[in-house]
Amino acid sequence: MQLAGMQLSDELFMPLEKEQMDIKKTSEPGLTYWRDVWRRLKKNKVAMVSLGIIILIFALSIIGPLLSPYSYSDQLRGQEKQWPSWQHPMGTDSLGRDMLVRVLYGGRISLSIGIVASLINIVIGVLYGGISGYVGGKVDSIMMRICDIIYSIPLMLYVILLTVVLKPSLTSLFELPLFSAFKSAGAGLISIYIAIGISYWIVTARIVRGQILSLKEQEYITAAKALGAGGPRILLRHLIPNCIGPIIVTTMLQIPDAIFTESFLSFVGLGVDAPVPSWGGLASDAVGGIRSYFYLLLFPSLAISITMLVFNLFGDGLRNALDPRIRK
Amino acid sequence: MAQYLVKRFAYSVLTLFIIITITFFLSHAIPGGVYTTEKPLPQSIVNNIKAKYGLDKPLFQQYLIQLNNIVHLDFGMSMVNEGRRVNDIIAQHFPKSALLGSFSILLCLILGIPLGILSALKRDRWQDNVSMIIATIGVTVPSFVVATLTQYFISVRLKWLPVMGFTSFKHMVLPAVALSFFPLAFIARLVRSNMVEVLEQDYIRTARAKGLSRGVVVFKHALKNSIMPVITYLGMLIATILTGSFVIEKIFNIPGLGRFYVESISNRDYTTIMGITVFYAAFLILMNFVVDVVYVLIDPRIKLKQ
Repeated sequence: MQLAGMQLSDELFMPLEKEQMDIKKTSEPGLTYWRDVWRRLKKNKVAMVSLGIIILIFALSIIGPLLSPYSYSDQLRGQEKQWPSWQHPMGTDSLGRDMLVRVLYGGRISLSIGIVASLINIVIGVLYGGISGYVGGKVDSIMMRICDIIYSIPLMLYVILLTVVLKPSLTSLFELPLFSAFKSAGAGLISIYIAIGISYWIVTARIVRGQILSLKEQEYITAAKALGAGGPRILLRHLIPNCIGPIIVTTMLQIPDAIFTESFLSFVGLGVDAPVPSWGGLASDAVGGIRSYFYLLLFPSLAISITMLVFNLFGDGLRNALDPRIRK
Repeated sequence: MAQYLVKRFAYSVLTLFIIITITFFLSHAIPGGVYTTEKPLPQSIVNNIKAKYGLDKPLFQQYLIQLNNIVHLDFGMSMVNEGRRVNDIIAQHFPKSALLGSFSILLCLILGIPLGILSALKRDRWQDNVSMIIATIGVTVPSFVVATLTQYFISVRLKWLPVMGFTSFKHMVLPAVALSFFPLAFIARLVRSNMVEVLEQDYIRTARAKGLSRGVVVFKHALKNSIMPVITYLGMLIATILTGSFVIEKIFNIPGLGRFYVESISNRDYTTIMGITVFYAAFLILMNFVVDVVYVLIDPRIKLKQ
C-alpha cells in the first residue's frame, strides 16, 4: 500500500489483539477538578513560594515558642532593651522580654485571629448569600438591600464599637462557671474574633449569591428537585459545594485583612490583653521608643507585612488556578 | 434621573437611621459609664450625674430624645470634656482631619493614576514590574508602619520635615504620605488592569486604524474609560482615609477628629461617640451619594432602570 509516496506495511491495517483494545489503558488517567487545580497552581512559582512561606510562618509560630528557653511573659532582670544579639536574635523589650519568642507567640495570636475571624465571616456570608440567591425574588432583593446598607457603613467604626462593648461583657460572662473554659483565652482576644468575624461578611455573601443565582438554573438542580430534595438539602449539598472555589479564595484574602484589622485595633488601644503579644500590639508598643529602639518596631512590622504579602499573592494564585478563564 | 435621586436619597436616610439606632444601643451596652471612676463614687453623686445627662430615664426614652436631638443637628454636651458641646468638638477638629484627608486623596489621584497608566502602557516591561512591586508593597505594609518609619528616618534622622504637630504645610507631608500609601497602590493596580482591558477593545483599534497617534488614543480615548472605576472607588477611598486617620493622627500628634473619636470610646463619652459616629457615617453616606450621582452623570453606558 502506498500513500503520498510513503511505504506503509500491511501489518498496520491488521485488527488489534484483544488485550490491546482497552481504551482506558491508552488514554491518560482522568484528572479530578482538584488535581487539575493543583497542577495549575504548581506551575505558578509566585503562589508556590508564597504557600511555602505561609507554611513556614505557621510552623514557626506553632513550634517556635515551644523551643525557646524563654516564655513570652518572662521578664529577664538586667537584660532590658538589648539590641539583637545571639542570645536574643530580635533583642529584648523595655521589660526584658525576649522579642523573638514574643514575635513568634504573637504570630499564633495574629494568625488565629486571621483564621477564626475569616471562618466566622465565611459561615455568615455563605449562609446569607446562599439563602438570598436560592430563595430569590422579594427575599433576595430585601436581603441584598440590607447588604447595601451595611456596606455603606464604615465598618471600622463598628469593629471598634463592638470590641469596646464585647470586651467587658465577655469578661463578666467568663466569670460564670459555665463559660470559665474561655477565660484562659482572654476576653480581649475573643471579643476581637467576634467583632471582626461578624463585620466583614458582605463581600462573601455577594459572591456566593452571584454564584448560586447562576448555578440554581442548571439541570442537576432540577434533577435534585425532581427527586424530591428540599431547599436546605439542595442548598447545602448541591449548591454551596459547587461555589467552594470562590469561597476559598475570599477566605484566603480575608485572613490578611483580619490580621491587619487586629493590628489597627491594637494601635488604637483595643487589642488583646497584656502581656499576651500580637503583631499589631508589639508594633504599637514599639512606636513610643522608636528613636532609641528601632528594632522593636522592625520585627513585628516585617512579620505583618510579609504575612499580608504572601497571603495576598497565594490568594491571587489560587484564584487563577481555580478559574482558568480569568487568566491572562 | 429625578426618581433615581429620590430613591437614593431615601436609602441614605434609612441607612443613617439604622446607624443611629445601632450606635445608640451599642454604646449603651458598654458596661459602666462616665460615673465609673477608679474610686467608686457615692450613690448620690452617681444619681446626680445620671440625672444631669438623662441617663436615669428608660433606655427607649433616651433613644427618642437622642433621635430628636440629631434631627435638630444637636449632638448634645460631651460627657467627659466638661462644658464642650459635641458640635463644637466636631467643628473645631474635623477641619484639620478634612484638610489632611483632602491632601491625601489628591496625592492618591495624582500619583496613583499615572502610575497605573505607565504600568499598562509598558506592560510586562521593567517600568510595569517596578510600579507593580511598589503597588504590592503599598497594599501590604500597614499605614502605621509607613508612618513610624518615615517619621523616624525623614524627620528624626535627616531632620527634613517636622516630627509632629500640625501647624504648617510641611507638617502635613508625612501624615498624608502614610495615609495615602494603601489607596495609592490600590488605585494604581485598578487603573492598570482597566487600562490593559480597555486597550484591547475594538474602538481603540478603530481609533488607531483611522490614523490617530498613540498618545491621542491613550489620553483621549482609553483614559476616560479606564479611570471610571476609580470614581466608584472614591467612596471607599474616603472611608479608608478617614479610618486611617485614627492611628495616623495619634502617631503625628495631630489634633484631628479621628484621635478624638478613639479617645471618646475609651472614655465612654456616649454623646461624643454618638455624635462623631453619626457625623462620620452621614459624611460618608453623603460622599457615596455624590459619587453615585456623578458616576451616572458621566458614564453614558449606565442606563437607569425605570
